Amino acid sequence: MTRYLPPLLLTLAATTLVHAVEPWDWMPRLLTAKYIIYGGDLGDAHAPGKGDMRIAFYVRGSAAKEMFDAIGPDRKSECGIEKGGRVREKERVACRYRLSDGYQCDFGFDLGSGKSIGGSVC
Amino acid sequence: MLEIQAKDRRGYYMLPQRPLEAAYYTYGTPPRGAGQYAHPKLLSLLFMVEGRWQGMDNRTIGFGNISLAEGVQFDPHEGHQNGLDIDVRPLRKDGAEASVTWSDTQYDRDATKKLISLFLEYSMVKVIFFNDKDIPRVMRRIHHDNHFHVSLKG
Repeated sequence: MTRYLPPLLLTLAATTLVHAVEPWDWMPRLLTAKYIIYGGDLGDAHAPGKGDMRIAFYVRGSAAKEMFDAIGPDRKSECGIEKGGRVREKERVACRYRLSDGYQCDFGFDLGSGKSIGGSVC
Repeated sequence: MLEIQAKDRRGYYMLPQRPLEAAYYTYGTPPRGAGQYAHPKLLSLLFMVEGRWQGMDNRTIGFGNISLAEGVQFDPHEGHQNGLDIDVRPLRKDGAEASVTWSDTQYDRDATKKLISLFLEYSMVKVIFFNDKDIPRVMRRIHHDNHFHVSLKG
């Protein structure tokens, strides 16, 4: 067993080093997302109008996975997400993982005030 | 021609849209009942509540989103996939079939309290979310100002 230890440690050290020096660049990436502009409230929305305009964004794919990983830990779903689903929330940013649908994060703004209002409801 | 009630592959029926003499109307996104596929337990509850409401009040109840066909993800909802959740509009003083927020002058607190009490009489109701702090036995939650959300036990 001990003869395997030095190469193992060496491999681990090399891996750690590679990750440690991995460069980070300011390189915005394209994302997969949907949005909707609406009036009223998320639970009872209607066509937007003057002074009544909000926007909700729904991000999917790798951006959603990265956001989900960053805003942990999981919290209990009070809204009855599907079995196996996971929920993470910080203030008005929400991410969910569903076995049937993968990762999705949402957020939104009141376009009149600029306030963050979230993008999902129970 | 006899209209056949839409049914999804789970065997869940769409809430009948504007049946004659009913004490409810339907609303929601997507329209025309596409987001109103209900578990049989919820359908039974809605029919019981609207039947009793008819004897108490002339105004109609607004039944909103339930679940999409096959229980697929229903944006912007976290839940609303199992057919056991429904959004309901609070009552308006003018009886209009329209949205109202609990802080609006048209909001009828007494009638809404009565309606919520009716739902809470049934033990199958797990929780109701609504932000009017003067209504007892409901939980407050963001974005529940212009509707209350009823969740049934599975």
